[in-house]
Amino acid sequence: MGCTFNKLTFLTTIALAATVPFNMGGCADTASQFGGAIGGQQGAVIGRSLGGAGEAASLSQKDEQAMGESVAAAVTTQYPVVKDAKLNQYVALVGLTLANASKRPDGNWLFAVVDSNEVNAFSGPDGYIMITRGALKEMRDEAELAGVLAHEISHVLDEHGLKAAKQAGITSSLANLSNLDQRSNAFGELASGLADTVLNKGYGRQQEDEADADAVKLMISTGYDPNSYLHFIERIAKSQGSARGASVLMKTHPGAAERADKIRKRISELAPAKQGAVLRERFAKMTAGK
Amino acid sequence: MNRMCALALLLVGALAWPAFGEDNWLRRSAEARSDPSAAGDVVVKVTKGDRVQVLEKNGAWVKVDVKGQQGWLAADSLSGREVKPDVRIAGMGSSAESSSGAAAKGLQDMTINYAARRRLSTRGVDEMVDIRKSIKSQMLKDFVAEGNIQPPRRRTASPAAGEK
Repeated sequence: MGCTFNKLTFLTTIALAATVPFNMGGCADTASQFGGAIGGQQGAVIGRSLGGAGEAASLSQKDEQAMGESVAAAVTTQYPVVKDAKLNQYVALVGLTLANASKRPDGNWLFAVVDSNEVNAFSGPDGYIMITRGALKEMRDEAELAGVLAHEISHVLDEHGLKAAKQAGITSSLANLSNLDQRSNAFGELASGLADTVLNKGYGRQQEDEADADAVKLMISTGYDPNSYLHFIERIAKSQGSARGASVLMKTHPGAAERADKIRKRISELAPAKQGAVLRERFAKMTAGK
Repeated sequence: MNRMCALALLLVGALAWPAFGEDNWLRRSAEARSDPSAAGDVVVKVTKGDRVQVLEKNGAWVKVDVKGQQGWLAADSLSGREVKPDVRIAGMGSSAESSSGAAAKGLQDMTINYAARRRLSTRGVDEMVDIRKSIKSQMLKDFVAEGNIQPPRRRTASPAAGEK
């Protein structure tokens, strides 16, 4: 969700990083979907300060790495990493299993569980992926966890944040600014905007759909059952429709039911027969009492 | 016709794959690993534009010689055509490269400045790095084997562990 279910949300994300030169789907109108962080006037201001739109250069990789670190710092300042080495290792192992099957296994993939009761997950440029303790509590098996992590990994690989930044007018490399103060200020504005998107606003529907579609593909290529991801999204959809969900989801993304329909269709296209690891028992063992 | 298509695909595949012994260039920053695994120890960090020589391949991975060291990279990270490195401004690097003595381990100076201005803690970022470092490639191999997590084509009929 990268997204956008604030509060009972699930998956807020920004994935500016990914320097991967491939895209798994169209995302041409990212800006139109990206009403958050760096869109609008703020984005225009940043764009001008960085040299204005129209230049084709992209952010340098160092800038993207710094952006990922900054988003991760913002998320973990608000939601500290849980002090549970075994749980963090377990989530990281699931994440690395997926990363290993991705197009970018040599990336800087980092995972952690953060202390929040919200059902949410976050991703930042350069492979920083964080999932809340509350999200783990809503899950029933390892493949559900893999689905959420695959969704976040897909945001990174699909360069959603970077595309949004470009659409906001930030098409010139920060390196083009020779004045360090100017550069630092411009970077700060951009990082704050992205962090706000990750923590509060979320992505647009098109990015969510794209990350869902790619998550299903990644789960299959890894060997996890994508139906578990569908089940999790379906439960989120039901929760959104319930009195409990409605009270919590005033600002949240309303589209879980529609997303579930698309995920179901995607699974039927790619893996009509049920297959893949589910690992309910291992998940229960590793998350018991957490 | 099918044979022709297959041959064409093979040819395209061969051309796309980094050639042994020839120069290739990093088209993005990456971390060369000790093993062909996302959990392999980082041998050397490579950056966009670095030149490498391909020594060996293993699935989606290639073993390369870079900066006098050998390590594994994703084949997708390499280009057969020269790639220009990103422009860098003097004074803007990672804290590991600078003499700033920043508390954060290996973070970019830009990150440290940003975090200080916004009063953000970088502790969580350091913790994420530590979590990642605590995982070794053998641990990941064992984890995958225990769960029988395999792509459909390689899936064995044996233990139903993965279906539980």
